[in-house]
Amino acid sequence: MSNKEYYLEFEKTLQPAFTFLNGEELLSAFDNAFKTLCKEVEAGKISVDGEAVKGLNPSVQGFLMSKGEQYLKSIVQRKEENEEDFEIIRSVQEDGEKAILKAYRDLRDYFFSFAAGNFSSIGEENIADVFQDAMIVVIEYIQKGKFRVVDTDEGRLIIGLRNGATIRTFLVSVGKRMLQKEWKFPETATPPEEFKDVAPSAAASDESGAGQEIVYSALEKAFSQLGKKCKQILLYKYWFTLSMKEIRDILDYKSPGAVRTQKSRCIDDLKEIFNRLK
Amino acid sequence: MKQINEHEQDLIERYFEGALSGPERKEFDRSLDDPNFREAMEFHYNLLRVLKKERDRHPLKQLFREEEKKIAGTARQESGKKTGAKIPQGVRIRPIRRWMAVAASVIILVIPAYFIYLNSIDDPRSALAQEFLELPRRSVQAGGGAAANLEQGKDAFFNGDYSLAIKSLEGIPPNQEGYAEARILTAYAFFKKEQYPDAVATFGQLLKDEELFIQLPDRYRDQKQIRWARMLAYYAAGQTAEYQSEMDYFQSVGDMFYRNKAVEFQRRAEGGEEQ
Repeated sequence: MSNKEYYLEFEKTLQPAFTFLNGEELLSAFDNAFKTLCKEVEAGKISVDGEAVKGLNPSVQGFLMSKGEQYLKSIVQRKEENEEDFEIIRSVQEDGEKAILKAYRDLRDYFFSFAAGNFSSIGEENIADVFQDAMIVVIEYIQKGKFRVVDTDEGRLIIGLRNGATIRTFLVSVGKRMLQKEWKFPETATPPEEFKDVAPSAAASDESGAGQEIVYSALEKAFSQLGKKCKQILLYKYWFTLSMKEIRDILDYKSPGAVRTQKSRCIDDLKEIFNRLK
Repeated sequence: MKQINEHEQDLIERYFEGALSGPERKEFDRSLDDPNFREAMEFHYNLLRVLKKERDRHPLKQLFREEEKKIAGTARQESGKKTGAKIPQGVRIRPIRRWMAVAASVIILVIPAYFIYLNSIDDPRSALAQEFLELPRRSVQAGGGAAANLEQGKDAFFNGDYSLAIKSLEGIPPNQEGYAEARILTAYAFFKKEQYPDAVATFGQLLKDEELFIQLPDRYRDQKQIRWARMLAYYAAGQTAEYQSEMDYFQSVGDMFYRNKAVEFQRRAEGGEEQ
């Protein structure tokens, strides 16, 4: 059987039990199950001995179904298990801006105390800046339906928060990476210390930093000539420090690999335009 | 723009994400001597600046900024109300005129900076003052034990109370979180207290103990900067041989920034001795 045939069988069997999930989520579940299968083969847990297959019960299709079902269950939570997030997601879905600002206020103290406890050198103003960026990611996940609430015959459900995660844990996981970046790339527009510590290149040779400004200005122009998708990928990857999987979720790419390929093309395009403008 | 390899590109990206491990950071520092690597780093740095501007255009960012202003405004009002309650009745508080506030701010900001500047010209030993200007200053509410000592030590340090800083920071045992940060600040505090041999020993401890060095927060984890500070301490402590050996290192290092800084320092130091 080919992968496509395995998937069609997978979808046919599991879809009726998860009618509230979309095709993308089913495909993610299949991908996840298939990767697990590959890992187990690589680790020798599943092997071929003559005519017999060891470690696989009952079959490849059965293995994929079982792992796929586990994955699908892991992205579903009942409202009763997580009332706070159900309310945040529902209100942002239905009430828009007012609900977004309420979520901002509700989550703010939690994030600030996390940041102050773990990144004590970052000032309050910069923590607020990072918190806003992390909230942008949270709200985009909700607005794009990656986190959503649904009414089903079995009750009201939250879709998208995996393995018992909450909006708070997601916010902190995204924000932590941003705080690490903030630590290294502070709010000031001055170059990092390393720029002062090394021999300046031709582009930044003068003391006034005018060379840096020339590079910046050319790069800004080059960036403005990129397409919308490229601008978004670079923004999410380098400023918001999202993973390829997270970018795939927000920008609706087929796979993290597709995002990676597109990102490389975008960088190449940017460098090419930059070299022309320089 | 010349190409660098994938690994080098990854190193640069991870540097700006603050995600380099200790050995990777060393590799990164070594790579900075390569002009192509440096050029790629400048490119990435400027890309981040461009992306920051792009981020500012996000509609949610603008919405959140407005909200943050409102929150800050409310907090100020509440704090004002609390302060107001403590003013005794009958005492008339005259509001400070705006221009007076601006002038006061200028004086507060400019005068100390000017003295630091003058000081750095007159006394080469005060070259370390520049390093102080770049140290992170934020402090947070303290928890208990080591965390409290660290926060108290940092507050004292940045308020110029170096005796209290040393006392608090030295109270943090080696196995506690924050010990590495405490050691680097203690080293600087010893220097400011003119306890130069202690400063030499503490900077030396950080340079010698690789595990401790790796635990330093990113901002402090700069081997050359610490080595430079130790060299200044050698100079101030009168440890001429050690000072000269380090000076030779900085004058021959393939790092133009430190090379120039070292030449200039020695010129001033020798000038001072002649006087």
